[in-house]
Amino acid sequence: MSELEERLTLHGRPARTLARLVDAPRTSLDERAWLRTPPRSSGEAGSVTLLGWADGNRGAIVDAPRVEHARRSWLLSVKGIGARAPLYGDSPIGFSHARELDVTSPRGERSLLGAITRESWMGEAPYGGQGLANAENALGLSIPALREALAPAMLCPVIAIVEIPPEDVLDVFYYRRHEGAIVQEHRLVPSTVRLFHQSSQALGRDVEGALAALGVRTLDALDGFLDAYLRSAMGLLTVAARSVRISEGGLLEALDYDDAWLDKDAFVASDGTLFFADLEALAYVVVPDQRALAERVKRQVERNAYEVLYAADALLRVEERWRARARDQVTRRKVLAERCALALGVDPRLRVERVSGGLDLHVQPRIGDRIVVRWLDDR
Amino acid sequence: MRAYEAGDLLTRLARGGEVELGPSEGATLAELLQAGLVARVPDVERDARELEAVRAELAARSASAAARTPEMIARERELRARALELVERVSRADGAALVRDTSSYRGSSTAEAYVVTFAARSLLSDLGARLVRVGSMSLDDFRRHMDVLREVFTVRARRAQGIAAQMFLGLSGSGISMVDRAVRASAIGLAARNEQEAELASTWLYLTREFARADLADGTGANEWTMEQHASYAEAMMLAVPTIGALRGGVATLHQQRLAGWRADPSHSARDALAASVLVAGMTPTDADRVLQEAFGAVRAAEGWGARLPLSAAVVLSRAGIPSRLDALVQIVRRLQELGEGSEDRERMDAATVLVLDPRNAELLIARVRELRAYLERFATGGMLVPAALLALLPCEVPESLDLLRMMSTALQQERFMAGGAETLVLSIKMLLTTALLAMGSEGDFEERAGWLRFDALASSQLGAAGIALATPLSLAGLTVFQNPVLDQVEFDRAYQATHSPYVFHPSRGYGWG
Repeated sequence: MSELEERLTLHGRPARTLARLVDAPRTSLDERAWLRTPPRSSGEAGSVTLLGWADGNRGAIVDAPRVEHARRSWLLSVKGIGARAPLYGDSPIGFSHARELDVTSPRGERSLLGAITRESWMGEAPYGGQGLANAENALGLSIPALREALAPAMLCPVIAIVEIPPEDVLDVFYYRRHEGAIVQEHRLVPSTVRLFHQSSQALGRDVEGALAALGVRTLDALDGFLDAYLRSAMGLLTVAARSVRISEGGLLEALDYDDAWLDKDAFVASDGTLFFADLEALAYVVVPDQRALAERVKRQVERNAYEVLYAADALLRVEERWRARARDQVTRRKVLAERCALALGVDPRLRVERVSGGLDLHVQPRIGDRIVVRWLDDR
Repeated sequence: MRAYEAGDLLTRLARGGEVELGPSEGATLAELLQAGLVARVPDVERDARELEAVRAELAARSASAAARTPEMIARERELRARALELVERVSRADGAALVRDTSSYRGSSTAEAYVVTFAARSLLSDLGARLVRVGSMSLDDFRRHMDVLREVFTVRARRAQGIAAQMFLGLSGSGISMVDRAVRASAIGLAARNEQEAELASTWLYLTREFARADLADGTGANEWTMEQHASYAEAMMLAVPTIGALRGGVATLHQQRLAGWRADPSHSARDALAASVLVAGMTPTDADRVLQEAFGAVRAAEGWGARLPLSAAVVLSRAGIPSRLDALVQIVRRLQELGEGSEDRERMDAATVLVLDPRNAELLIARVRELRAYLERFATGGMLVPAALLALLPCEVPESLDLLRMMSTALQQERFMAGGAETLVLSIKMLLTTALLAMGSEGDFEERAGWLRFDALASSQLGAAGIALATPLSLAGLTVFQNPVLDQVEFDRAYQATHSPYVFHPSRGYGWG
């Protein structure tokens, strides 16, 4: 099978769980590290093989079984199964690692399917695996995620941190060495469909294909899908306002995802709800005062509006095709404005206000004064 | 009503504001109205009032704390649907043009409000790229023209989709593994053939397997070639022969024998030699031998000019019956080099081989190629010189060629054929050109309905009658052979350089690769 196949074989073998989320549903996939590397011997004790879908460069989503929890059906996503692309150079990872890192042992060659190295990537993760600090940050935010405490801003909870057995790590690096434990995150995701990048099927790239995969086939279903998408996406755009709190030091702090983007770091559920997945990049940032909070909230909306609107636009165009009635852009924009208002319904933290020249978001943070952000323009 | 008259009035109406009709434009407006290209603005005041009432009722219902009964939910759904409908109606009146008709003997003291419809905006987009060529055509003829073209594109996209579905079906459980985009690329090419989809898929699968078994790559047993490459040559071979039934049985061995001799000559790469062998697959052994001898001669002659002509390119020239244009070919290569077009000699040589088939002025063609290449490279990091050369052969100006490409891409996307990006672009070019080649025929192919897309320049001179007879199979196979390096590049960019590609991930995005 090609190194770049979207469909992957995952080998699970017994591994140490370093941390586990309280209240997380148990699954038959627990207590194992899931890797692309085949077992060392065919009869290796406790080894299980499953099929999965490639998810980004170092992740995979196990195809089955589904995990039922909180009225939702989840899939297990594993982050840190080994990298599929080389970090440096421009050849397939097999050549790159084998030749440049002199990985010629049988174990090394086996690992080239998905290499977990000791190269420090971004100063926080071993290339191909996950760093413990990142995983712990994600786990820390997973209790509110599991309890939907920030709804309609929805998050994919990390349910466990599993150590990658040392014998499955290539003890090599290119330039910078990662120190510390090498782990993988086990998290729950609602589907295999991301918003635009990193999954083989993505709403923004192949909207009708993604809708079909999610079971959305009628105009009625699409209507509900759009509603849920807009409600949850606008929830994620305002997650700072929804999470603002007073820190132990007495300062205001709010959640933001400066190092992540919704187009590649969010999944779409079959009902249209958008889930933010990369919790390691979601962190509380200090906002010294109300003015700084307002700036942060506006920045969060502005910075990610395009990603949200891209998929919304694609969905509206599908609706037009299915109705066999195309709209011009002015009408499409007005329909979107109306849909945003309808989707939000009664959200205590967010409502829209029609004003001369456009549509404003009125954001009510948990602490502090209302913040007004322009959402859509009329002219 | 002529196309340019409709285009002119619609453009003014689309801008909004006050529009004063000139002499005879009153009749044009009436025709546009009848054709559904403009519409009178409805009573929006009433709609706007109703919309406000609907919104108010919805807001009141949302705020109510009462438990929601099925009747209440149904009423809310009804209100939501009505709100969205009214928004559209009110919105359509935005940007209306106030038209004053002073052209009739009655004149008009009051202005009437009109809006251009979506169909009109689509028509303006079609006209914009073609106005010089079709301006004097009647509007009805032009619209029929475009409808036929869209239908042809849609039919071809559906056929490719059907073939791809059969191929995927055949591959599952066959033990053959290849990336999806290679399957789609072959399906696009084979959509040019008339056989049943299942027959095409099974022959393609058979040949792919045969090629893989025969290990045509280098005879050393080393697996130099991927399954995707075997599949691509299977497709090319099927395009090069009159009937695909004859391909079953020993065909790979035949090529293996032919290649064995050429491998001794280091001037022919294994890939190039197989491409050449595939290109003569549909000929009688005598004709194939003649063409190959001419091709070997052309390769030697090119060496005399200081140029390295790949054997497959020489076969294309030889099959087209124009080995005498070798000097022109070398001139084009040199000119492309002077202009800094193309990143390597092989790319320039392939582009020149395509361009030299066209008898039109080479400088003019090169100028077109440069314009097209600059546009295409918005979608990929390189390797677009040959696709640009292929598109330059179309019998229309650059804006129209690009619009055709956009239409073809849309047809393929509507059939959910591809994942998007550069793959869509490359395969749309392939499908557009095969459509144009099929339009030249007179065998009752559906594509012949788009006859104005013909490669008239190619059909007119150098190829001659015999050349035209050969042109379709030749060029379809040739397209596949030329397109492969580009698709390889696309795949390479996507797979191995994604971390660095600003097209995929903007450099400012820290966590670019998950």
